[in-house]
Amino acid sequence: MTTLLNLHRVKYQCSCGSFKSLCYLYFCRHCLKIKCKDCVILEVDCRFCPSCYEHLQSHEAITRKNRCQSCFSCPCCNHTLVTRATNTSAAMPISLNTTSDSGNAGGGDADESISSTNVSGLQTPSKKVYYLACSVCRWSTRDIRLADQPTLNSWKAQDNIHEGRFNELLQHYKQIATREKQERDRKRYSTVKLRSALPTTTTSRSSSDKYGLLAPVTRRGIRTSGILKSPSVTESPNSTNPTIKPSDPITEIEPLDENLFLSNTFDFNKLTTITQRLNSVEIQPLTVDRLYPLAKHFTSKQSKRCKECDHNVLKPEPSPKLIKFKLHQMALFFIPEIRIWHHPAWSATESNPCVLSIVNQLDEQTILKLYTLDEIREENIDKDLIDRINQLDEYILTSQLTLPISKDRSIKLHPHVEPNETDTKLDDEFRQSDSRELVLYRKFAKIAIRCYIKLKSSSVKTILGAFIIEHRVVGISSIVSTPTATSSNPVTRNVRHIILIDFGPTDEPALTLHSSLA
Amino acid sequence: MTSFIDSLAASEKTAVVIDIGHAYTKCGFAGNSSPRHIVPTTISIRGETKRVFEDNLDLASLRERLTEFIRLVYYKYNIANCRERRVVIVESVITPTRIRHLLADILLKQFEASSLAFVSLHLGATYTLGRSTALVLDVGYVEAQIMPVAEGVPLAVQFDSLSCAGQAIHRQIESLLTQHASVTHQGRKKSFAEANIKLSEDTLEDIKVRCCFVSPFTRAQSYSKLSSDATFKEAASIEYTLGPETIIHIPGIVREFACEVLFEQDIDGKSVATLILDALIQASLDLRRQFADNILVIGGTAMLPGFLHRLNAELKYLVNIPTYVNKLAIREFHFHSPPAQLNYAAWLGGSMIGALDTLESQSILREKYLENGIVPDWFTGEQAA
Repeated sequence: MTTLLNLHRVKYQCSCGSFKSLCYLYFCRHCLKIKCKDCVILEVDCRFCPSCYEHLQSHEAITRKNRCQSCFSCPCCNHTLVTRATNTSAAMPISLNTTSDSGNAGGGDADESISSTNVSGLQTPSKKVYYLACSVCRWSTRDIRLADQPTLNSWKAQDNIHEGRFNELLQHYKQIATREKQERDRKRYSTVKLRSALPTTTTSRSSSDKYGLLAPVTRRGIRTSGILKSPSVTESPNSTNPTIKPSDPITEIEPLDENLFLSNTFDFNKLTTITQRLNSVEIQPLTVDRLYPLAKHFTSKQSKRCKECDHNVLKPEPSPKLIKFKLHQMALFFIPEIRIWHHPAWSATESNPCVLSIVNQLDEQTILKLYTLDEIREENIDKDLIDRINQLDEYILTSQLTLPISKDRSIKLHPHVEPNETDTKLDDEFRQSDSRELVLYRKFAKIAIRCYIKLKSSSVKTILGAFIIEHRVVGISSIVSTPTATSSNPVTRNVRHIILIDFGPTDEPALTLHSSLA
Repeated sequence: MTSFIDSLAASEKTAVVIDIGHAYTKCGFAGNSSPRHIVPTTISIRGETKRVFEDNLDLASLRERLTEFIRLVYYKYNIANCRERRVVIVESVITPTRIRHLLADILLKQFEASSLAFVSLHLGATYTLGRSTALVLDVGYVEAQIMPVAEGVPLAVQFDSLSCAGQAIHRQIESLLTQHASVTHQGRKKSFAEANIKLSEDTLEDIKVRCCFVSPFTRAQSYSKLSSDATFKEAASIEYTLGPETIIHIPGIVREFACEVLFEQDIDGKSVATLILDALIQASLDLRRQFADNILVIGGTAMLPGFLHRLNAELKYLVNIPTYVNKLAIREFHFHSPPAQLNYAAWLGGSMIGALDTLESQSILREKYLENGIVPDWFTGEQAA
């Protein structure tokens, strides 16, 4: 059963030349070509937290460092942490499972209301305090001795101790860099002969624009690239940047903590693994008791855009909870799918009859034409296609695929139907017009065709054959700049695709023949 | 909790800074004080995890893997659009040209970044110190690389590298385990060599990270001079659980001396410590004192416990041996510590450079690249027009 769909066996050629299975391909309706993952550009559409679906705008998300404020992951095993509440003054902690959003709890635990009197009947005012716990590995914030918080969502992120020093250094270098850039720009302007002498202050650019002559030059100057890097920055009349303190050498290097490593009481299970350390980049704790809950990282939904025509090929709904698509131009919806149904035990010399099935996923009737590679070569119309076929034939193909009926094979395909469809009128009609040699079986949108494989030589190891299908697609025309009336008509064209089929190794046993095909 | 600088940097047009190492990749945005993620440089092909930079990979597969990996970095880890953003790649000076060309092709043509800058990691590391002269030693996974930087100019001529780094430690752990360790498999105890277990790189890395450490100089000396009947106080041994039925008993010898491979002098008399001394000898006389006072050690392998202390002790010892005693007058060395964990210190330098206005003059611009396809080996600031 695992080979039922056999996705990796049948590959279609994308417009960039690579062969991929149909489920991985997109179809651009403007260029009317197949596009694969490498021919599209991804753009981030929406960023959201995978556990609470909180959706943020892009600029906000970037300031929050793409991390959720209310969901946390366990630093030990990376599963989502669950907020648990207890009473501070109760003798027995009654745990009330609540998750951070108002949605479904872990197992649908019912809320138990806690009265403010504890078991012994004393009227002590009890407060609810929260702590985080992992339901998978049983880690909790109490393990690192973090105090339970009285309010939800008050878990602070850890600070980076080096941040202050880094910002100091960055400010310093930024000042030097801006000065350098101004110097360089000024040098370039001074080669332009301007009637007025440029004032030599470097502090602000606007002050040197006394006569308004620099404005267009400045604007142009910023955009052009390839600026000479001047090695000397000594010309500045006033250096306003304070020099920063360069780092001091380490006064005393810490020796190895011998007690920790050499003694017999060393418990190596208390050390964190490298994955746990790298999860919190800034701190990288050495021991397990310094692990801290990690804020959950966002995931994103992307929309894909065709590189050639710059139109969207795939556009998901912006809301994180909906998994539908606004624009869903997958190749699967435009191009019939071909699968291997049957092949006999391979013989190296004779022509092996095989059966391929074609499934039509479109919602309308399609006429499919099949061509073998030789026929296309004979036709000699499309040079580009012939080149591609020749290249394929030379380097990759190991067998020759021929089809019955010598010419003009066209098959009518039924539109895609629901599984419980019973109206067989169209189906019967098509069956009448089928030639028995080519079409073996037909049921609604699925038909089976026969083809013959002849191995090129007896030393081939895997059998690769190819043929061409042609069908008509209705495209969307892009907005035409000339004001003609034809821009409103949708473009229909016959497109051809090269299909590469990998039948598998030569010693694979024959697939069992379906009863309806026999 | 984001600082003023961070919020300035957190705009739509901040540059993306990536440091692609052989073992781990650090990625994030320019102007941030730490990378967003440190991830292993691997991708999963049809369910199997594979390293991007595997040995003996042909160009087409390397390109495929690198493309997939960069896609992951952008859309899973950084969640940033690639178009219209600048990219800074922090890399070593001796990155093979084909990898640089591949990166330029992938980033500028396929992902349509607006410009690409290659920043030398040694130079970037000096930015994190606020100094312009330093001797930078990067001990990574595949090799240890040293390069002096004087007055902001990386002296690439005096670049040197040695392949004693993380990978060498892994091999040494394997061989020491075969010699000294024993395994309990399904209740029966046997020696490691008999049990014939093949340890994966991940397991070796875990053993290295959790069990091993760098032995102090005095202990290492006494061990190497050990005669067969003298006793040596070993470190504690560890029971390492490999799977549900297998436990490896790692003796203290393996734990302590696996990292000796970094400091043992090989046939040419080289070790990580001699890298520093040789660099000092090759440097011009007026700079030697400055370099010796400003040594910066970065890289993941340098984070092993006891590494810096041992390195210092080795240097102090080696300046007195006959090879160096007459060539070098320096007897003391000073190390610096960057405002970062050592494994992303180079990335931090790249982040600083990526936030500066001068980034544009150091990068390959997309239009220029599409015109002439040149990836310069060294940036003089002038694009070959």
